[in-house]
Amino acid sequence: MRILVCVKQVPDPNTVVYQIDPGTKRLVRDGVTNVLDPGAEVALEAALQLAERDGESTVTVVAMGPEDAEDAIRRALAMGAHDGALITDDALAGSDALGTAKALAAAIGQIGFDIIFCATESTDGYSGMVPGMVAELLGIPHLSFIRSLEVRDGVLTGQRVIALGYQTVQCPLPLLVAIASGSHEARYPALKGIMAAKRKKVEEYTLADLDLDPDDAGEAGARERVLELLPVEERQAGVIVEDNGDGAARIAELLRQRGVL
Amino acid sequence: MSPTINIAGQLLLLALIIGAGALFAVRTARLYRIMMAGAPTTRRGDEGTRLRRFATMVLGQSKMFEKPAIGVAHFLIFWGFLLLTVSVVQIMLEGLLGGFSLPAIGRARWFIAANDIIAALVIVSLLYAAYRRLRVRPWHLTTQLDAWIILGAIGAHLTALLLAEGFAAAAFGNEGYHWSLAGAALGGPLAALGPTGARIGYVAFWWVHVLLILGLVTYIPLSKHFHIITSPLNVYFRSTRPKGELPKIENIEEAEHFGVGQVQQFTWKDILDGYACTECGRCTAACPATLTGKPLDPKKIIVDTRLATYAQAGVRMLGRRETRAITPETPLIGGLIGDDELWSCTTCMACIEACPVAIEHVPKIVDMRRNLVLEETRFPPELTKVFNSLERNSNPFGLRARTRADWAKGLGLTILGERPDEPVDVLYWVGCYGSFDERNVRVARALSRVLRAAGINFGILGVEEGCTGDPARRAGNEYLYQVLAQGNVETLQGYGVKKIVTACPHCMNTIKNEYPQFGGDFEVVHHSQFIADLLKSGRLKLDGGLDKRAITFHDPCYLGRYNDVYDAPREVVNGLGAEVTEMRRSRNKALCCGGGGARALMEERIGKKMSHNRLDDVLETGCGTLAAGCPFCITMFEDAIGSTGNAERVQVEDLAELVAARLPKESAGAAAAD
Ligand code: SF4
Ligand code: SF4
Repeated sequence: MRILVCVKQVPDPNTVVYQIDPGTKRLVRDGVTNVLDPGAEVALEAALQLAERDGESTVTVVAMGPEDAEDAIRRALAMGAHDGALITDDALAGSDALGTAKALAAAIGQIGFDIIFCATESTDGYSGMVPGMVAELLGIPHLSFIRSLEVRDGVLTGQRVIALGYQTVQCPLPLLVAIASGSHEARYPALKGIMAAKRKKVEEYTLADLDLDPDDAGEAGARERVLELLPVEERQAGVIVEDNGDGAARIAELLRQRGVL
Repeated sequence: MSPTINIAGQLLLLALIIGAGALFAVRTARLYRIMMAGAPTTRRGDEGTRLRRFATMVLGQSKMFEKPAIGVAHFLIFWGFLLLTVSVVQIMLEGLLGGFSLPAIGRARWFIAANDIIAALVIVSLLYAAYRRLRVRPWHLTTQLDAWIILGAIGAHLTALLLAEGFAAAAFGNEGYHWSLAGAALGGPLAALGPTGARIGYVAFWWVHVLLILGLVTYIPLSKHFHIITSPLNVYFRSTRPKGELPKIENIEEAEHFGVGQVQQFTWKDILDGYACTECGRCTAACPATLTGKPLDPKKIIVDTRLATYAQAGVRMLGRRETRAITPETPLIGGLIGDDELWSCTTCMACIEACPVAIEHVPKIVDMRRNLVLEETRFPPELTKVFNSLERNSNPFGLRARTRADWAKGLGLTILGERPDEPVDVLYWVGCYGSFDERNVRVARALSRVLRAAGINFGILGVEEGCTGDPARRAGNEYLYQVLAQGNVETLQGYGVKKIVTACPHCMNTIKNEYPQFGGDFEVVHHSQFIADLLKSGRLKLDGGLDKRAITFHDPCYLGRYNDVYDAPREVVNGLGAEVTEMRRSRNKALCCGGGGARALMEERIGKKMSHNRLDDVLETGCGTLAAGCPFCITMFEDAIGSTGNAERVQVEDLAELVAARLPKESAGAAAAD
């Protein structure tokens, strides 16, 4: 099987301090360490496990981003992916979800695939739209929130996380799965993997390679506009009511003050 | 009369000696060959140190005397055995050649008398050893059949010797060729058996005693008693490198395998360690992990490497109950040694310190961790975050590298990169805990005030400082360690740093003992040493009037056992006008807090918390102040004190904090922006 995994480089969610540039409405990336998206790591882990079980598959990671997004691809290669593809072009900066999906779909179409793995959403943008769009553009089914899967005789059987528990779903290949976050424990690369990753092939694609116009992607093609970006309100300290016999009455009073009662 | 009677007896004896010798040689040669097939390690040079250690540890049996009773007993057995070896040679030749005696000593009365006395003393010592195993039964001493075979065989051999002498005296009269002390004592009573009975007794016991010693010779390589040959060698070949230096994996990017996953990947010295272990369990008794119910037992690690080596050599150890089926294919890790054992180790080195035969446990444990991390990627899940953060932020906490110097805001400290033209005398290496951990930031600020007050021209690296790599290295991630170490050495060399002071013994150990592997040679001192010197020279003056709270001091493993610094912290406490109330286990026997070997960054899931165990020692002193000198210790103790609800009884304070609190008002005022 030819397995493709869409990955992304994001500011390290563990250390990033969200600063918003009021002009561009984008995150200030200055002084931030970029890493392979932890969500993508989980999708990659699911893909690697599938490939290991079947023993004959290749795993290719595809990313779109600036030149240095290759670092994220190298990390994925160190974890065990066989090769990588990086879509990079100055004209791609500022792409919206659809622009990103078009670029990814175009590259994936050229590379060829049996199954595509995505994270449910990226850990910086959180739009969660790209997997669905890529599937639509490629004309293949999209299974979302997959937490485990098996492929036999060209048919995927997987478990989909739903509010009640999970559904077991089935679908013939080719298709796209979006892996539920936290469903797999991403591996730490072994040293052999890190060394081997340095020698693995990463193919670069530009807009021209993908037969895309600047109108299709990038700032120019973006139809979705971010109007405002606001920091999360800091959580207020709670109130602890100690019960001295009048606890219930005091809680009722607090609720009344807040207009709940 | 010769005990071999005639030529047939002589030939029989000759055949037995050759047979026993050959069996011994074949078995030993196999073990030797498999040992020499181990990885290389240089154990040459420093002959002076080696011979000195040999003299004290082997000839003087120094470590044995830490437990006096068995120390004396073993001393007697050891020296007795050496001297009796001469008499065994005499006896064999006598039997072979019929009535032969070694020139000068063979039939000298003093020699024979000395032999008999020693034999008797050794028998008493053996009885004590047996008594200890049966009645005293130290919990760490697991007795295998092997031990009884050895005690029994030596005891029976010597008893037979004395009896043979007694019968000889009874048969031939206690004089001339047959004179002996045993004969003087036993000859009379044994004469009651009549001359024929006495002769038969003589020949029979002589043969029994010869057969026992020959049997023992063939048995030795298959037994823990092999240590009579291997442990003296082991002491001699013990590393003479700094104790705190782990071996470096050279050319790690090209290496074929990393660390040790199979016993053949150990160095020959590691394999010799296995051969040398006497299974005395002193390491077990000292291990903070064993003591708190973790699966780790340092003795087991060593015995398992030995069993694995024997399996490779196609030799079986005898006289031991072994429920596991050990074949050459049994995996070392996961088969013999469980992952949890390896991850329980704090690298505190208490085992190495306790071992009477100089076995080096810690490098083996780290080598196996290397295999787990670099090859198998099998390690506690918490470490993934630690490794990722070390790689990305150069600290284990997942905090931004850019904020590393935030602790120093407002203190007006010199940051080397900001004033490249103003050289400083001393670099204060803050470390990750001092930089990021709230509790230890207080220590960093206190130490800065102290250095200020003493008028020291010092600076810090600020955001250019990175983790020394100690937690990565001890957790087995040698690659990540090397990347971090390389970076730091370059930064330090870039600023021409010569002298470094630090409040972290782990940083101290790595920079001092391990950075030379990367060409970094720096003079590194612990802040306790630095402050003790300042107090001695009078550069630092402290206010008197210390309240009489009793102070105890917890020796950090990486300061004490790793770097032999025991007195400086106590001198600092003396400088405060107080005396250290010692804990039950202190100095080189101090019990680890549980934080080393990257343990502070992992969950402690199994058994009692090591920090709680050590806190018991602290509470036992009744002291209200626990002086510490290591950020790991402080973190572990703060947690232990808090979670056991002992905050009222004891407070942990770094030496620098104790000193800073006693700075005279004016200098404190001038220095404090705190
Ligand atoms: S270093 Fe310490 S924790 Fe590790 S085995 Fe030795 S005594 Fe036990
Ligand atoms: S390793 Fe040393 S201390 Fe431990 S049992 Fe063996 S000989 Fe004794």
